[in-house]
Amino acid sequence: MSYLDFTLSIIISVLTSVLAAYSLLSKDDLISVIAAGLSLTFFSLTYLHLGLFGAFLIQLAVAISILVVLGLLSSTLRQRSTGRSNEYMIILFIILAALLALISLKISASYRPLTLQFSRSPTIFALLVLHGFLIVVIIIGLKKFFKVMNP
Amino acid sequence: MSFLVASIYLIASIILAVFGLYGLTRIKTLMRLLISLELLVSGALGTLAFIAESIGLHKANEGLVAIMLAVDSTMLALVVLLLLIMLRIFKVYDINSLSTLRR
Repeated sequence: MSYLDFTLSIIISVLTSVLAAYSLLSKDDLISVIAAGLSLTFFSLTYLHLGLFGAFLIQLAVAISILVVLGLLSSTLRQRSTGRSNEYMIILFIILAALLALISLKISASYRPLTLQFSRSPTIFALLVLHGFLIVVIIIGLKKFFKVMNP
Repeated sequence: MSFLVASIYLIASIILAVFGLYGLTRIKTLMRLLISLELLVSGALGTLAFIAESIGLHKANEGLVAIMLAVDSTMLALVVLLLLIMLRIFKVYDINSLSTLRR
């Protein structure tokens, strides 16, 4: 551990807290959902920083589920009430795509240690089920996204 | 330094849990309530994990957090289902209005 770790932990903690507060104080439901999802995503980085890789993956799955499920729900509600939601849907899915790219980069960068870790971990089944759930959520979300974008 | 980093994350998770608790007591729409619940659960689990991490329970800690987060995901799915039922059948969004409903 070094001063870089210390600085990183301060930055992650401040971002997590500020985004959580903003998600509660924001007037718009969709902005609130995006802020809460990002706050939980930053919170999952704390597990990664301390080396708890399984906990990081599951916390990230929870954060992305919140982003997608509640984001789609509030976007649909917003579209029903005001008739406009496309720009928020685009923001939501850009964030989601960035997260997925980050996960892919991380997994491809540490492929060998990850395989070793999975072969020793007792939580492999829970991780696989949660990732299956995440893939289903993303497929449903993309289907809904294209339906909204091309009515 | 590792203990210091775990302590900083412990403070962040306590702040997250306090925000979640505030949301549970003050906010009345079901979606905000769900967000508050997620913040509370994540903060509480983080508190548990970082306390265990700072006393050296690394591997047991990871398994415990993974299982608790799986339970949390199930709870999220159930509350979203409840929210959809409220919207489809009762056409209400505010949880206070549920107390005035009649069959």
